[in-house]
Amino acid sequence: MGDTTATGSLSGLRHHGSGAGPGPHAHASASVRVRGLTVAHGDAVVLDGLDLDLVPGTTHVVLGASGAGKSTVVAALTGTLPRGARVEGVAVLETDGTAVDLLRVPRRVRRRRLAGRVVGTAPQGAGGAFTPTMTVGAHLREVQRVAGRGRPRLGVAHPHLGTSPRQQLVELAHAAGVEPAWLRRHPHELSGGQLSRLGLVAAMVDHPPVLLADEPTAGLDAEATRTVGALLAAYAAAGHTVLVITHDDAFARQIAHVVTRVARGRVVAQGAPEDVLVDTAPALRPVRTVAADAPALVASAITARRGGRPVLAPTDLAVRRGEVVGLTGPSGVGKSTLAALLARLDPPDGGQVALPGVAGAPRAGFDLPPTERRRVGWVSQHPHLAVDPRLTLRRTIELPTRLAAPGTDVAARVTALAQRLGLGTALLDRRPHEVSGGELQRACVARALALAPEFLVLDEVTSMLDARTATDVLHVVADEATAGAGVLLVGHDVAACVPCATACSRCARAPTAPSCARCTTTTPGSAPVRRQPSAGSRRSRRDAGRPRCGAPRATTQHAGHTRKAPSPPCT
Amino acid sequence: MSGALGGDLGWSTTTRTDVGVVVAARLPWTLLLMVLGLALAACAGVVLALVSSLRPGGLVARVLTGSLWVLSAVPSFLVATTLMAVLSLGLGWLPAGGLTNPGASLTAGQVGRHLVLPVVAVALSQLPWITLHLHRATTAQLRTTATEAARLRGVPEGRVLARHVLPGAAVPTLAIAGARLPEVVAGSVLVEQVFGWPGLGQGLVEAALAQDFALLASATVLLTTVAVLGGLLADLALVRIDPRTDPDAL
Amino acid sequence: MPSDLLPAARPASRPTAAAPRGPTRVLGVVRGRTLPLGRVVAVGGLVLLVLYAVLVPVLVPVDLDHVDYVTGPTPPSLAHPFGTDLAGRDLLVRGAHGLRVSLVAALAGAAGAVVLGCLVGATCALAGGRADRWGMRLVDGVNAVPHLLLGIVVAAALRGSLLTIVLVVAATHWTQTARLVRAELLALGSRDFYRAAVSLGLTRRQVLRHHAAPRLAAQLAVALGLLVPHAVWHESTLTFLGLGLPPHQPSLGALLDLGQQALLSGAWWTLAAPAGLLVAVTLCLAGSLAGRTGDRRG
Repeated sequence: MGDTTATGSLSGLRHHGSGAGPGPHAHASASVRVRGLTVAHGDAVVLDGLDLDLVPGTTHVVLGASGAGKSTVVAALTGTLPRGARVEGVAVLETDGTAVDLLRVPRRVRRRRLAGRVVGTAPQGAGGAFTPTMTVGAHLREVQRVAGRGRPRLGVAHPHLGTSPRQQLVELAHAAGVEPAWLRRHPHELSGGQLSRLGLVAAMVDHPPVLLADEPTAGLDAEATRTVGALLAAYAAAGHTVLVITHDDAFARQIAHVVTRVARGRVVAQGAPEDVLVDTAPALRPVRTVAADAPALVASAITARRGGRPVLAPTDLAVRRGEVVGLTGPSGVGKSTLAALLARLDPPDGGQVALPGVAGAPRAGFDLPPTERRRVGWVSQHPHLAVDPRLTLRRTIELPTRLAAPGTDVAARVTALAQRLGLGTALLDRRPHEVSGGELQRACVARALALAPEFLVLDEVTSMLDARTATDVLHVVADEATAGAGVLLVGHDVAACVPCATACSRCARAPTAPSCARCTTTTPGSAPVRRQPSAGSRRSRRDAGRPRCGAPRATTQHAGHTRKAPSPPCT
Repeated sequence: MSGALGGDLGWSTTTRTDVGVVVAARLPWTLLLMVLGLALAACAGVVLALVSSLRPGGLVARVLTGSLWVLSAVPSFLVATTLMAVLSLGLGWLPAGGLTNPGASLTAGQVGRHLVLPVVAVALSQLPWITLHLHRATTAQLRTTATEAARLRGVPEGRVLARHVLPGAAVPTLAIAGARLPEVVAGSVLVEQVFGWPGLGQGLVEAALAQDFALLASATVLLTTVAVLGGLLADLALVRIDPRTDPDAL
Repeated sequence: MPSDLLPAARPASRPTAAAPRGPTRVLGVVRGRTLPLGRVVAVGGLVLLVLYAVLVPVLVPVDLDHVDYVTGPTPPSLAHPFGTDLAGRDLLVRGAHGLRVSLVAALAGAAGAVVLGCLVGATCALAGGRADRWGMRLVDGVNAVPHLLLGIVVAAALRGSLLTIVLVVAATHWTQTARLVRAELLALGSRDFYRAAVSLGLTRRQVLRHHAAPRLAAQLAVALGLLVPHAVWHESTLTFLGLGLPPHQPSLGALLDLGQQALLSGAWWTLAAPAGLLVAVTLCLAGSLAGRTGDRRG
């Protein structure tokens, strides 16, 4: 399709909303047909022969692990591929009898006619999609204003017909679960979840017939994911064409009409959700029981204060050798603090932490002898901060072991350990800034495991990893537990713990997963405490009444600060 | 010291007048030179940065960056001397120094003609850092997801540049401007010396050569205050533009 | 100053996405490290200049106090590649002497600044608390004063000599090194790094030896290199104004001063030679260290 044809056919787009009049939907509709989309960058083929059919009124989800080339689809359709990428194939946008090849539209035409008006895009990483110097509302109003000539005329049946632009924004914001007050704020004052939803709103402001959403639920908790899913479903139901890129199987199940699974640039499966989304719930491992008198890392009635205010009410937590204890809760509730206290990195402000065989002296940090410190391994939430950027990954993993036992042959063991965690030899010779966050996190886990600690405290180690890699890491951790280490796994996502916590005999949280159902026991007399909803994620209503054993909980607000009720000890 | 606060800054041995009188006479000329020089550099810098960042690897950008780099290695007195040598002594287009032609009265026209070369010298010596920082910032800003997302929403290119790219690019440049102002002051001191511009900088150098410590002290303190105040202004502008900056932290 | 315009050091803990730049011309690959053309040219130029400054005065013994007003200023020719100045002295040799004096003075000054900055920065970082706050306030205070003004005041009090230059440069430029040292030591004290070191069983001394010392040494070397052009500038500026090195000692500043006076008689080469040398040495120094600011990227 040559340039002239593309430009010529676009003249029809100017009136794409008016002429045909409202059909059964309230907007003009557009469909996109992608055939044989192939994108190559240098020698690497990122996408190979992708076929997609985007039909008005449906949601098409492209699913796959990170790096599989999903975002390249959106980049190709919007013309934002990096320079030097070669594109083959066609992507025909058909609306009102005009047809355009999206892959070959000249840039100026794309900016004036297509962007925002016919094809709306919510790019990945919505947190960065707003310029920090303008308020969010200013962004949205700017989009409304510049629609101008090419503005889609709304059909008679459209609910937004006849309302003022401001009112339209407010209604759209409501539908997205966004409070109008947020529109007056600047991007840095809003959280990632709020910005994600606002990014979608910004893409939808002009009601473009085609909506491309790239990872709209990245970093969102369950409740926000549901809201976003509802918004996208409603948008599709109103007659628009929606393409969603995601790696979240559950989200795909919630909203998709058609699912395309992509792996390494190729289409692996395509069809209805039931057919493509085979049950990816991890297989339940046989539950092991651990002897009740196994040596345990015990925290008794520990409290913590930060800046003079208590952040942790007296909590008891014990991790026995050989088991995996999951510790979950909403963000900001104090899990990392508890983890650091348990790993004896900071001294608790009250109570004590005792290693088996050692008297529980209230010392921590550098004051403890190195041999005692090495018995508990700890992996941080922020791998970039925890490594020395001058060292290669190999040296990072090896150095502590070498310093601990000079003279032993560390290299072979380190290589083997790295292999288990999926770090190849080539990767090991790179420096931290040359590898991704997930790889760096795995290197940190390897560094901790290389010392063969008796107990392991992992603070949100799977947060930067996609599902497959996270499962692999958790399998390694579970193997360590089988070999006799005691593991405390901290995460804000129950699903992250389940693969290996199925092997645990205790769970610090009582979700609906059947394997941990036995954790619903409580000590008699402790009433279930109603949680005050926090600004972050909320637990599902079902779990609100159930006390979580062993984990700190946010309770009612007392005189301006939140106190944690003592959690019932697990049996 | 206590006298200074009361307005009595001492006695200048070289000019045989009150230091206060000398300083009051010279300070406005210095301020005029600095403000005009900075303004010219800022305007030129914005234009050059935008032009070169729209095509980062292109010929224009590379030539510009290279010549600005070479220019930054030239101290301001050399820039001033070269300008004087070429435009004034060589081509004779502009006067070689001083506030007015010898013997002429102090009119706006005279001052204007004599102002051109010093202002251009100050602007040229400050141009490299302004332009290069702006260029780096605009190039980075053009690549951010925010700009990309604004384009994808259909915002026209001119508006993207004006409201999305430039404010973001101005932020790091303003942040550095505060630290660079002492250099602007130093540069203008040298320019004044070369062109014989009767500002506070020239007074400072003459006082140093003659070991007139009263005048030297006052001039130094005043010029330092100018630099600090300029930095404050830059910080204020930063707070206005970027809502993320915490005014207390500055 | 070109070295101020190099990309600012990025915080070591946050890897940023590589910026797509135009292809850097590469001269070749030696032992697995690519040699960018710009860097090779800068280092080569620097080597040439240093050789020029060191060897020419030795190889061409000329009595510097011998003036020949009969010959007077002559434009560049084969006999005198840089021409001769108002007193008939060959500018090539004078330039070499001047460059040597300037470089020595600058190196001494830069070394003084680095040592002083290291002391202050380390004290601030390791002592922490009140000492740190006061130290940083001192740094801000010194930074607020334009370097040249401080130099002029000091030079006016002490009168021109080599020691003056060294003191002036040390007194004005130590703040950069102090900030650098403090930032490096504090970065290693970041919470997560500290905690990781604790849990891995490292002692404080091991942390200092294996992590802090190598980084600090590399940064200090770079800082020293970057300060030398500044010091050369300051020296030449102060001497140009008449406040720096005594006029009988040929330094770049003195040559520039004489050159400016000679402009009125049309002898432009007396200015061009030292100016060219000054610019060349500044660019070569900055270019050799380009990319070394901030963290070593391998």
